[in-house]
Amino acid sequence: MNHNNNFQQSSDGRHDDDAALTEFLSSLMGYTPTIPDELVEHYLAKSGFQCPDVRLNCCLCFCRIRLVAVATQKFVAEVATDALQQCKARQAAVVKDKRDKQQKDKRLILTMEDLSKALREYGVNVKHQEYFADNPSTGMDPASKEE
Amino acid sequence: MKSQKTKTKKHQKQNQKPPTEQGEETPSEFAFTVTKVAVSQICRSVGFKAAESSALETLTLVAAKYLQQLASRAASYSHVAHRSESNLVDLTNALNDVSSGQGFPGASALNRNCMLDSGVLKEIAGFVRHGCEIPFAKPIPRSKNAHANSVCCKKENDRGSRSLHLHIPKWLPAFPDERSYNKECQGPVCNRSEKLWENSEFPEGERFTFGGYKWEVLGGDLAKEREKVRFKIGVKGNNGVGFGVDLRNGVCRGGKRVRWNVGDVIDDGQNCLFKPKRSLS
Repeated sequence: MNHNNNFQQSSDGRHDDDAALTEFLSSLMGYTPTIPDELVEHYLAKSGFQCPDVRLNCCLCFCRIRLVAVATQKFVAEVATDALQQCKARQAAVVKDKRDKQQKDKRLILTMEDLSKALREYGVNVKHQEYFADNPSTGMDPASKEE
Repeated sequence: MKSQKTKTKKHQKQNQKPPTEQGEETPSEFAFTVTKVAVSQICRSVGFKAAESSALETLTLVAAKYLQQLASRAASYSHVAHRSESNLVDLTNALNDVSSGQGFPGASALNRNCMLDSGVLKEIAGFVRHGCEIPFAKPIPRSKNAHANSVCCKKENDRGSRSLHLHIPKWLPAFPDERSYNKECQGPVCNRSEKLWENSEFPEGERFTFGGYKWEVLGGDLAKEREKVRFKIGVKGNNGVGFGVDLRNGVCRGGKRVRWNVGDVIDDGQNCLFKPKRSLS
């Protein structure tokens, strides 16, 4: 008896999941991702992802393209949000008294430092050169330079 | 520390490109530039006012690689399942793979009920529902060359047959010229060396239908009516030249004769166009 009940519940649950998934896929058709379809098609073709031609108005293929575009957009948005958090944390650490409050209104700029910290959580290790020098003696003390 | 601060505005990005390079950009450079615009739009929506050019380029590269990784993983899942076209299940598996490093709810109970009941899809659904839509800045012209590349026929004169061959994977060799096998097309017969290998044993003039099209065999090097070929395996010729393989052992022990008849054409719409009849005597 219990088995039957469980089976009923799971099949009902599956039905709800299918309905939710169908609803999500149909909502994808009305959502325009930031990454354009043509660009996604270019990268999909480059990587070997086969799907029927969009020009034939194939709804399924459109769904897949949109899904990939939305997934990538979500990923970039997450990385950018993490970098923003890093930037804000860094600026908050600098602010000490009310005179420096104006620094809080300073523009938020995406820097390599924040980006590398954000990307590290996603498994991407990015290292950036601190600076580039013209010759080996740049930045050295004048006393040691003369030597 | 030298840092170049670039405003995340579309017109500035367009103006940065020198005019001489506009016509000479390769598709990958063009794609990279377009991706950079999209990524900068996303960064602006998140809250950034400006971005270092090196940071923006790094993020663009990472986004492009993420996209490519998704696509290649989905393609490999479909290939493993003996399919050439990837479907939603392949995409879901690829998404699960890519998100497994970061983790997502439901990662421990994957594929328990339904393949598509994935936490990743639910997260994406939430993102779509709550996030605001940011359409791309400028319209991108769909290049005609891209369509030509997606078509498998690599012929130069493609007269209207592009839409017919989209189901054929790109990596297969090109079809021969249509005039060589379709007598309805006016024109000279093409070189025999380019004919389909399936037709090499067929008598000339035979017609059959395959894949919805009527084919006529151009004919090979064999005549229509020919006698049965009989030969003995494992027997040396008169001039003493053998096959080089000791065919007296194994299946061919005892010098059996093999007779090969050209079989019938079976048009059952499946992969095998013809079925040879072989009898051992």
